[in-house]
Amino acid sequence: MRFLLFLLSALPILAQDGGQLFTQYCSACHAVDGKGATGGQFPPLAGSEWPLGNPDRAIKIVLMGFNGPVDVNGKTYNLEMPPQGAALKDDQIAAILTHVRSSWGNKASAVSAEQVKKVRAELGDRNQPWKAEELLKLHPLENVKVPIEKLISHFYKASFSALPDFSQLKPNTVEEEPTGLIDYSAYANTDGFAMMWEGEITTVEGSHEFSLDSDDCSRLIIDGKMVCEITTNGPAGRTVKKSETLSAGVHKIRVEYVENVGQEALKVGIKAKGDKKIKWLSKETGSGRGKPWPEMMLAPTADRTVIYRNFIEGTTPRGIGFGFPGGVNIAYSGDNLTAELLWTGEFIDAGHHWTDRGTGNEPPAGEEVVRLSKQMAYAFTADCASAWTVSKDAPPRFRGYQLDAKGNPTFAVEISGGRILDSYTAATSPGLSLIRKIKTAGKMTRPVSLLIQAEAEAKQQTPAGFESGPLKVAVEGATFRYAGNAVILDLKDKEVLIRYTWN
Amino acid sequence: MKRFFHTLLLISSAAAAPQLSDYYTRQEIPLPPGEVMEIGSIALLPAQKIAVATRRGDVWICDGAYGDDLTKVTWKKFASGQHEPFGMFWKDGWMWMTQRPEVSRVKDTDGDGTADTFETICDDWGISGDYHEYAFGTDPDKEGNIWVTLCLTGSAGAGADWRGWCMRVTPEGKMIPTCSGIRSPGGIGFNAEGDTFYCDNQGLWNGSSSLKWLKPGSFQGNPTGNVYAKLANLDAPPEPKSGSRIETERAKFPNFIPPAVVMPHGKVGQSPAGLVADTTGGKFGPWLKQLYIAEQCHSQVQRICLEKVNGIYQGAVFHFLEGFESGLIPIRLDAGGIMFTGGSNRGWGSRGSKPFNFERVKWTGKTPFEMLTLFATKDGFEVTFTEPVDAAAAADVANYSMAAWTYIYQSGYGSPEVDQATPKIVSATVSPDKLKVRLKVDGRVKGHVHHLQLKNIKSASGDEMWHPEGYYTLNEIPGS
Repeated sequence: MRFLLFLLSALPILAQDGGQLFTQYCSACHAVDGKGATGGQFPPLAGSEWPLGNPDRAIKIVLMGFNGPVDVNGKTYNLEMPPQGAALKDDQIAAILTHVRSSWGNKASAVSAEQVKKVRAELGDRNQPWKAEELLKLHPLENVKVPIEKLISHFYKASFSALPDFSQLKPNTVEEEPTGLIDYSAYANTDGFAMMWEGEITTVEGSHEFSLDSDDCSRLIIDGKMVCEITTNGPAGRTVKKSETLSAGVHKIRVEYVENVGQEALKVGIKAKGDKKIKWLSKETGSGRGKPWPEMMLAPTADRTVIYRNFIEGTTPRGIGFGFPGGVNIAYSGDNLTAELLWTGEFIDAGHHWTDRGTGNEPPAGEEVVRLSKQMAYAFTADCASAWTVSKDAPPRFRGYQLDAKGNPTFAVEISGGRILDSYTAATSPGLSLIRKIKTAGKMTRPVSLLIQAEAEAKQQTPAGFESGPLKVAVEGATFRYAGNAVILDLKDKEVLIRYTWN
Repeated sequence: MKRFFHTLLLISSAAAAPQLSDYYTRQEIPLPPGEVMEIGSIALLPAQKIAVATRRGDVWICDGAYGDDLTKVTWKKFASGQHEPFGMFWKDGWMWMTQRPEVSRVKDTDGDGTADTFETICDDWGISGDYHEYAFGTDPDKEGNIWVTLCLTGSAGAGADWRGWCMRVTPEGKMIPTCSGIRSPGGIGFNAEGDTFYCDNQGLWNGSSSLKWLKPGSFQGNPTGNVYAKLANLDAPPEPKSGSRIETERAKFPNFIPPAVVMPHGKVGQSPAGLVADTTGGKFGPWLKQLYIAEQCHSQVQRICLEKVNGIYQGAVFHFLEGFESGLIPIRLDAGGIMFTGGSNRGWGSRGSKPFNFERVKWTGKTPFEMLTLFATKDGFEVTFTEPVDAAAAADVANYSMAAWTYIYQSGYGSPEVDQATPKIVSATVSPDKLKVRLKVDGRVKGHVHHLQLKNIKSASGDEMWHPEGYYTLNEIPGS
């Protein structure tokens, strides 16, 4: 009896209270009920396979933190969990994980301080947070059957305009894909590559409808037989469907893919006869554009522009996007002081930056994206006689912008003791065009030049204009000067008008 | 039966612990329907209007937030397309804001209620495109300068110019590098005397979150951004030793200013954000010139009293207001005594379960029985109470306990509490007016957080103490 009393009084002092520690350190994001705080904005631990099974996986996450996209209970989260290894002791981490593994319906073994200590020692000097792929390679989820088993990806870096004969190619990289999903996202936003995946799917007996969609070409092969293919370059939305009768059991699957230029997409699905929903074999799924965030497409109104100041793919971090009524869009660089990107159609999907922490760049949502330049757009005329050359002394300063009654911007740049006022409006007739007016204010101490284009090839060069991809560029009130790959406008006191017209 | 009932009543009235609603009224201010209002900045405008800026980059102006009937609140969108402003104020007809890429000022020149002129004042710091490179800015200081803290890249690196520094931006747009050693700020502002402070969050080189004093020329503890000193030919900031203690390292580097008040991680908060000084002259309670800290993760407001000892700021943090609806970021206090706060928990969780909130707090006029201040003395601490104390209980040393600890000062993320000590309270002397008690304490540790807990100490009129504990950071010992 005395012994028991001693035990009862001693235990609470010796043992860490996992539930209390969880509430204190973890519940702000994972919620006291383990379902993820704020209606599931944060990953749940209840019902998740991640904290179950081999405890090393969860111990490693708690010690080093976790970063980037992760799929939990069928939903993708893209957040950052700070590492707790330097703040929490081994016995505290053990108590927290024991609580997590035995609460809310979770049933897994207790975690001991010794296990935490061992993992901590193994990790040594590592101080980087984990990414899902890295951790899943070390510790695959035990009880989750992935869509494609034994999945291997092959990556080929080259320019392809059609599906190649893969047997003649040597892959640059070959990787195991523990997520079991067709996923090219490691190479997203690059042009010119091909990929090929091979693995195994398990099916019931009967008819199965396969679906395939891609930007650009793709092919789906089951048990060595071509089922669906898309053989021309083009955007997503060209879904091909075909039904195949399969026996019960394991079947070989092979997917081939080519990205030519521009945006990417690849969706592969299978639906057994009688099933209501497609089972996706690809990371991208049928809804939206396959992005892990909800789409929040920004659009101008009929008579006013829309502004998006954020990280826009293809320009610098000080990007300022303007979507004009009618479907003309620009991304002005507050660093390089010109509209570096022009495109047509949809403006931009803000869902990327307005969900979770908003990591990364978002590309323009529309079509015919033209990148005009990617360097400082102002130079002293004396420095750039034969090629575009920016002097480091007396750099120009961005001075902001003014909006007219319809939200059309005039950007102001201070240089050489004066100001350049750079206005943009859009027109829809006769065709889509962007009208840019440039004028100087104040007295410039040294003549200044503006870089009009240096990225794409300027064809049909004349003093009055040139052509660049889908764009025809014409100047009024001045002439263009061509130096190397640069199209240059030497600024005088007179207002200049530049018209960008889409063919 | 009757006696039993009686006893019950007695127990329940005696056990009624002080609660927030006795002293403060917290109310949600209705937001424009259908809008996502993740509030990152609040500015007080003339004619009792209030502007808020959201993380999505919208600026809205609210009318009616001071009124008795909050259903009459109206909103008008003033601007959109700004880049995550954290710091906004109104001056001479312009809305000034510190946003991620720049300090700017915005104006409605044609009087239609919507901004049309967006002037870039200063964009001389670098941004790399990393989401964590937040910029937090102040109101103008006595010289008219805006103080801007520049969060590290990913909160751990310095991938663009001047990350990890505090800059001053003059009204003309000149940028003056002012302090090094910043990690991940959550807010910045002034104390009642006009000195600048910011909250830095637990992480690399920060064992716990804390309130830090931005003394010009100082190093704040995280050396990651030190490389940028050369951009302005400044002296190299300290390169401290990882695994040491702040107390040890600051002895080597005189310009290493220690955290003024450590807010012990988990115990007081997890993400301190905006701060504001009480210059209302008593319209928000008796906390004259104290600081209020908005806490994002715990959805609370903490209270801090500061003193300067041997030229270094230090002081105590107390629990104060709680139960806010989302993660608090900015905080404002109107001269008439209304506190406005709000925030968001997108990307960082909070106890308040709504995705965003805008709230106001008013003092009911009833003073809670609390420790008004906790200050260090030559041989211990002095507590000042908000009301006369029950002198017999306050003179009994058995009614006090103290624990002290510090954190490892290291390049790793956070720290456990270490070097625990148990200072002994050897005497407690109540002042004749019963408003103060002097505690003689043996075994204090310079540099440690000192956690003072009171028990069984009521006011002379029998009120229980609302929050019978405080955490004092003893950077310096008076008279030493």
